[in-house]
Amino acid sequence: MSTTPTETTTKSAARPARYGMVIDLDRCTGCGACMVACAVENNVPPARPEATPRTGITWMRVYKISNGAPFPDTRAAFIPMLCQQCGKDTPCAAVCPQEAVQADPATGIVDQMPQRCLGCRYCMTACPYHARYFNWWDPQWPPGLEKTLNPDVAPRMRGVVEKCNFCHGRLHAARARAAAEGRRELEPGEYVPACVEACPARAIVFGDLNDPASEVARLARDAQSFRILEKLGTEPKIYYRTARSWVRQAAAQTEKESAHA
Amino acid sequence: MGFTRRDLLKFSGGSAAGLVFTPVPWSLLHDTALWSENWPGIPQPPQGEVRTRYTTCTLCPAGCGVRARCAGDQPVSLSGVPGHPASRGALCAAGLVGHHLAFCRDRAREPLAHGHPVAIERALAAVTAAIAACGPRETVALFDPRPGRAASFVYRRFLSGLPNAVHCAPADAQPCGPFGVDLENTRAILSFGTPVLDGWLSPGRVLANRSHLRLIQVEAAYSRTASLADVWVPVVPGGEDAFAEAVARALQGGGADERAAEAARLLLQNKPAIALGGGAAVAKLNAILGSVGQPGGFLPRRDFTPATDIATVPDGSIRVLLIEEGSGGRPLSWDLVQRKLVPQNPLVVALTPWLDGCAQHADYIIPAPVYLESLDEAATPAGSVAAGFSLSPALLASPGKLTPPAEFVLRLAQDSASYADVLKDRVTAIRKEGRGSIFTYADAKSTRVAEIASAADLWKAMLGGAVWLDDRLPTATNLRPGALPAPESVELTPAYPLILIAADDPPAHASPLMSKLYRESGLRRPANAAIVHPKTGRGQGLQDGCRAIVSSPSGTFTVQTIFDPAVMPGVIEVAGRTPSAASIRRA
Repeated sequence: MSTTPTETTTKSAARPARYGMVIDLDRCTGCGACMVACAVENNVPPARPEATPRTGITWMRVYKISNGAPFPDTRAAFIPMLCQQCGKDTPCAAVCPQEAVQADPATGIVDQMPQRCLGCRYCMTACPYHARYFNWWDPQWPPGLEKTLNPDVAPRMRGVVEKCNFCHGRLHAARARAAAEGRRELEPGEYVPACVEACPARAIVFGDLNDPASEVARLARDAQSFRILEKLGTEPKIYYRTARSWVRQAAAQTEKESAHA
Repeated sequence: MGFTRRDLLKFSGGSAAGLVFTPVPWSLLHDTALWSENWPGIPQPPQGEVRTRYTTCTLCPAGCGVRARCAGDQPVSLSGVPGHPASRGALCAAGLVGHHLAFCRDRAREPLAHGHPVAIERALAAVTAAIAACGPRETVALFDPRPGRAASFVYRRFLSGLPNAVHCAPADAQPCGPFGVDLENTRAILSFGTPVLDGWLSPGRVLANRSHLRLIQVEAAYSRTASLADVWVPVVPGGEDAFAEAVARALQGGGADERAAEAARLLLQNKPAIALGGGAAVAKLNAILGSVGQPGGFLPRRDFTPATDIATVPDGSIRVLLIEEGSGGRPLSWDLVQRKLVPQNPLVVALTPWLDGCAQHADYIIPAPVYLESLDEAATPAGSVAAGFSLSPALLASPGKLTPPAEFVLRLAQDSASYADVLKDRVTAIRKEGRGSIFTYADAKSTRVAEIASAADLWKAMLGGAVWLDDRLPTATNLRPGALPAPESVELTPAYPLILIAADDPPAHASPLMSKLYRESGLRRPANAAIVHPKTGRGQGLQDGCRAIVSSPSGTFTVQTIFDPAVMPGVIEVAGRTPSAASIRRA
């Protein structure tokens, strides 16, 4: 089977799509191209001078994890962490008092609506993956750089929470193109998030997990694939895969377990 | 019945309480949220017809194809060109935001003489006079960060007309000399500190070939490449040559330690194999592996522009120095420049888009356009086994008063041609020779140059986004890649008990969005970070995160300490530093 990384399967009218990703941790070099491409695509502003890793906004954030052994037995891996698009009992959606978080039944994408968000940050507390970010400041770009913003995505205001939405703007654009051509369904590869397109290592495979013939579904079933904190039962749609057992074990632990390990 | 004050209060209170249960407050809230999303503080994205344009990245020698999504005339995002023979559809993080460079601070926007605006004609006259006043033992030097371009040809032609002139380049400008790496057929790489998976050649090409490569990384630091290598061999900085010699012995059937024997076994089992890095021992390894001139190894190509490593120019000999600095890449060290200049009245001219780096010290600054602001070129993609050439058409309006470095040198040489004419001549020569083929970005098609009707058609195709790649030369034996300087061994002293080595070097100029990597996530270390093993740090009285002073024979600088158990004990990793003995103490 071909290993096309950017696969979107045709959406069946009878069965809604369930978009998801498989990220190959053995390919990820931690270059950060996905993080930068995500920020460009979604008009995420650059850091304020006072921003820190706790207050910065990175819808996609690559973490470096280590096996904890000292030199020279130390080993490291890079884990791109984004909204895991929980498919069941979505924690952020369950706690939002404003219904600003919605899981689209047609795509499985968990979306955030900044217009409804009150900025209570309850969703950030509920998210087991720390994949939500709060706008602590008005979004600001250096003079002139506003001209380079993506016209398909509205910048968010101060005081709201934002997160990965699988580049929803790209999904809309792909649907609009398909509609203009008289199609109701998307062709494979017609819709891919920016991080998938940007990854130079082709470590991210994207597509419809509901389509058993798709590359993403095949990889998700692979024995080396796993989901982070799977035991919470939230059915995330981001799968990771690695041949390194220590990476799988580290990713399966909760923070509390890691602290006591 | 009268309406009392008490009734009024009860009515008001009841109305206020009842209002909460109507849609009014929620509607107000909603309207406020909508208003706040569009208040003047929120930037407005550009409007205009969305279209795709193509160019070639010139931020590094990789020469990756670029597809730009533009709103009107403004690029709003960049991505790779699928099928591009050098970049394979990928761009690095810096390349993805290359269209932001034009808006960076510290831009040079008009010619300056000692910090004051000056007419370019006066700068030209001053340089001409300084060249004429050069003594017999004084030289005119031009620092070319990327020899091999058509601009380099302009520089060499200009310098050839002067009695004492030297065309300089950084030591690592052409790491393989007149050779490329046949990565598609290589099966194993023994790398001595080369960041194979983190910026070497073109990331797309390297990573596309990763699945069939066995990689052995010999390096003191547990780098990104080391973390994904099949085998990581930590060696003390300066011990690379000894390890290479041990592997060479093992390859020839001699005795060697376990690590060298394992490396030799992997290389023999996965041929063709190559060794990357500097020094005679690595060159010997390649000779033993038979990797020079053979498929899967180092293959010769037609183009090669020899240039002098600026570090080898005699100290105190340069009277006039022209420094070209590109949009990307590492800036030239001013300490090195100072050593090379004559003590009395040297003249330094910086041909640069930036006000920092060597420009801070230069007598004249000639502002150059940044990437995408003017028509530029990319020479042979780094590591390509065939000569190459592509144009990098401008996608942004140039703010005026900017002069491409080659254009300045042409005026200095009193040549009436423009830089665009030089590029056209290059394209005409390619068409005339008729070798190789071009890959056009828009349709991902390859066309033989001989099948293109005219030089004008070839020029038009290349302006629309295309890369020309020469035919490969036949393989040959008895070739030797250019010798690179060996890694220096470091001698420790009681005053300097630690070894300073180079860590990830953040780009000197980059989009503000690179803050995602360097500040907002901590994925990459900032330039002022010193990474040490916790034991080493505590032994020097440091704490994780504290400010410290690093001293080495070449000077002192302040850093922020980061403890990392993955670092070799006794080693300090700091970005952009050359290996040396050092000490560290709390600030």
